[in-house]
Amino acid sequence: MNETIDTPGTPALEATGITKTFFTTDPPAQVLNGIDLAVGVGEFVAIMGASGSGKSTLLYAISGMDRPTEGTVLIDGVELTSLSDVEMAKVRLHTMGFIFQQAHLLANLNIGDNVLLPALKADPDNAEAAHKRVRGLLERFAIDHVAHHATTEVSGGQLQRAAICRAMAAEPSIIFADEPTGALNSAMSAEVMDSLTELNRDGTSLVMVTHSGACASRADRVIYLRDGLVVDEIALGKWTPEAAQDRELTISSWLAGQGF
Amino acid sequence: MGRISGIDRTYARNDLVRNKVVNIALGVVLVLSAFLMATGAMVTERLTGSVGELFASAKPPHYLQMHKGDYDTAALERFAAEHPEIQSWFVEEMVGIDGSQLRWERPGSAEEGDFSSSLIDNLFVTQSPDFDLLLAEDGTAPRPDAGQVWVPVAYEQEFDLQRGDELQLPLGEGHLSLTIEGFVRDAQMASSLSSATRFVISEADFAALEESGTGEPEVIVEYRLEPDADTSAFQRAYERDDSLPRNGQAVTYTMIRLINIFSDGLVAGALIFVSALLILIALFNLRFVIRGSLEDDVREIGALKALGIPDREISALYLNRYRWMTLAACVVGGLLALGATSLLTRSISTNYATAGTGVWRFVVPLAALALVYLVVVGSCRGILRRIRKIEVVAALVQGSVLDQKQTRKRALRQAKRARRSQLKGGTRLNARLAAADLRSERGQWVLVPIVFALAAIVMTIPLNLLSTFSSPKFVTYLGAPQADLRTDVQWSPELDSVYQGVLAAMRADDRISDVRPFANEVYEIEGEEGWEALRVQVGSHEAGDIEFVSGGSPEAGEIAVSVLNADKYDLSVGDTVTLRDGDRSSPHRVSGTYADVTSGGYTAKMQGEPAAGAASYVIYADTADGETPATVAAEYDESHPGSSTLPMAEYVSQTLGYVTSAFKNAAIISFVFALGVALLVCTLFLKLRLTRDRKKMAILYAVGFSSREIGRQVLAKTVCCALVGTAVGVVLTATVGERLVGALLAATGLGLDSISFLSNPFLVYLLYPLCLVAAGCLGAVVLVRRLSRADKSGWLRED
Repeated sequence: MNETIDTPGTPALEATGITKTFFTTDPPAQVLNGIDLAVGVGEFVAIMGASGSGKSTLLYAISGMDRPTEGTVLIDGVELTSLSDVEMAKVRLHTMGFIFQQAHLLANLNIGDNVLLPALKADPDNAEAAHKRVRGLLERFAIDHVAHHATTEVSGGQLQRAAICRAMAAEPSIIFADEPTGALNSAMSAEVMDSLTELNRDGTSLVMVTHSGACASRADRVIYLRDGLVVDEIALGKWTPEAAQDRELTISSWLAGQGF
Repeated sequence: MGRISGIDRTYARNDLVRNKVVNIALGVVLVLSAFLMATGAMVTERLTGSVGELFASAKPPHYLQMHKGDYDTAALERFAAEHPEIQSWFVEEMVGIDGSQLRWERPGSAEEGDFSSSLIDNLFVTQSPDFDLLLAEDGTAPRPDAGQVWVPVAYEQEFDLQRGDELQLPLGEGHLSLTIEGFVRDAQMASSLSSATRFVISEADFAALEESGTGEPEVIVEYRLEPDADTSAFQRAYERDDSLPRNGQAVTYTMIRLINIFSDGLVAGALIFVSALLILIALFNLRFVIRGSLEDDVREIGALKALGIPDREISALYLNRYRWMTLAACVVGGLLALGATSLLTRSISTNYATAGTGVWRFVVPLAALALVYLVVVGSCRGILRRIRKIEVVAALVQGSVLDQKQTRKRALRQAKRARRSQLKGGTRLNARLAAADLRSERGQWVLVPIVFALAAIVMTIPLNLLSTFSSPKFVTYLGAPQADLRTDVQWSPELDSVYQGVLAAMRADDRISDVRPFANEVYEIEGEEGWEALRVQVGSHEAGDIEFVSGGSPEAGEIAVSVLNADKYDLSVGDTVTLRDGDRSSPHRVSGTYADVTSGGYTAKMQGEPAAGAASYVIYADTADGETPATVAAEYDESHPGSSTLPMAEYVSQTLGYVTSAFKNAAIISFVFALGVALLVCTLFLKLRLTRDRKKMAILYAVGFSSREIGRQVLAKTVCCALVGTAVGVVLTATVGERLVGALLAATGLGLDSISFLSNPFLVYLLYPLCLVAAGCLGAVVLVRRLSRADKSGWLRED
């Protein structure tokens, strides 16, 4: 069963008929069963579902980190599944940003270099501009004072903010986040979600996988996956601090309805 | 071990499945180490056994003295009567015939030839009475009938002779035709370093030869001494007695044995040396693999510790795995060694004897394998002591093998490094990332340069030795100048006229330049116990002709002596020595000492005009540009009977041919093993490294690096480490290795002191090492290619 979700405005991402089968198991495991998903420019979409429903698999299949078994993915008008390794790398670099549950910073680079890496990679001939942009990002996310620290010297929240800065460093149009607060306590989670909400407010499209209703309440739209299919969705509109509590309640009752 | 004895099998099985490539690579390196160690030990055992067997049956003399010309039999008898330590003695009469005058033909076929290409002296003798026997293949001492001849086994191989072939010797105006009845082994002259070889004929044929005046008569006075006799004292006593024949070379039993063991001993030594380096490589790998396993399994180890399992038992889980692997490697390596040994010792069995199957045949290889096992397992035990330091909380919570102190130290190191940016400019990001990785993980990556350095040594030392022994320039270590041609005049009845004929022809020949004649004259030198014979090469010795260990070429009034003579007469540069020539005696200053393995290594050189009446002559000459030495040499060899002219390359190949051909096998084995080990270890290392770096590679992939770029970073790190290691290995070979080999060769007592490698630097120091790097990188390329198909998102989700 294919689910089609209408999106407001021009789609930043348009995935059609996405299936994903893992052939490493016997019998092969079909995790995604034909998903259609569109994300509008500047839209913040949260993907929810029980463990094993295929949330992360969907995120990686539509983001070019992994290739779907079937289906097509269009990002900014470029069809991803037919791209070569090098072309795909360029799309990941210039168009996308990634945030994971763990910060996944490179341990042999300091915080500043971790953020600088994609910026320099995207524009190697303009190192000065890259440095300037990175400094701006670090200041904006209040981690400029730890730029010359090792990854072992900073808190989990600072690490995750550094990961957000890294995702933003090459000025992508869409960010994919896989449970970005999964490894953080509630205070740090709020910090990170504030940062992501701010990014989205600036026009960056966001697709986020989460288990947390509170985090999902920040999204414009929440879709629910079960057995590799999109079974429901809820549109919430843009988040404001004032409406936060109501949105969390709405999400809670909607999730309860899904049996979450 | 009792409580978890069932688990260790499960652990071992799981590890085998999980790390198939790594375990196979490790297993193969261990098999190669065990194989070479066992082969080296077995070759040594067979060599000493075969030489011992031949010595036991052939009973070579404990002391022998060569002599040309008349001698006083009564003096010899008196000397024997005065020395009760003499068990037995006799004078062996010999007739030397030039190889070009010895023709062979195969009846019933058109096959025929002569021995002119052989440089060594062909001596015809009758079978010795009761010692210094020439033995047939079955160990018996043949006593041929008239018309029969027994030929040296070396000629059987060199000229492909068969039983039943006819051998024709010059006999006065006609010739003597003999049938080859078989082939004999010669304990005294078996080695290729020996300058002569003996044919056994009947008493009747020998008498006919002597009567006809064919060839050059020579004698060897041979003594067999009581077991507890002091050979050196005996030699001194002999040389002190002026009435005894002694214008030729004197040789002792020890020297005969040493020369016999030298060539194959060198092979066995090389194999054991290479094996020791391979074991070292295996140990470094084991350290890397075991440490990696502990890091991978740290949570399980923490859990076992938390359950109260003693460290010793946890350690046994790992140790047993490597015990079995090493044991299996020793068994497989030992079995492979059986096959290789019979191939490598084929020439030993032919030239010497097939030693009986004694207890040492089993004990020696088993002891070698036991040594490999104990060293490897002992080292594993040492590495596994790390388990003791693992703290339960750090293991379970942080998944760290480090204790608090180590963790703090590492954090401090990381913090210090973080103060500096690793990226700086925007260009060459991949290179900068690779360099940053190498800096921060040097403890891991150091395995690659270490292994490549050792593999480079494994490869280049045997290759250097091989090329040194095969180099035409090696003659400079044989006491001869480097030249294109060498003419020997020694077995002609008209020695002086043949010599003058060749010399005149060469000097008049436009194709030949720089003709340098030398006469081998016998002088007397004052030794500890009186006047002794000294073979001196007289001629125009120019600076740079030969390699001097100390000092330089002799000028007028000077003499240069071989290392062995310098030792014997306790001479060093600047000393004055008195030489006697008939009634005249004159002082000579020692100008230098040089290495020499020919003529037993006891030679000397003096400046002067080669005079008529010398014992033999040598002429060195160069060929003009565009002339082929082999062609010119063949022409002179043909047109000047009684002399032997060879291209110098051929001379070296004949003198050291046996050493070189035996060593070639060892060099090839080392070359192939070095390549194989480089490939295996590189694969093993990268397989583990790539598994551990999955997350890092997935991060780079997510950030916008392509699989190809990530692969290139891995390749760059590998090539960089391999190049550095190989360069270090090559430099070590050229410096320490050269000195080490020089010291080992000097220790053999053959007079090969201060040897320098003579090799083609392009091949040995560039092309072959690059092959090593290429072999290592081949494994890297195969592994890196797999990266593009890997599921990077899955790597990010791994715990």
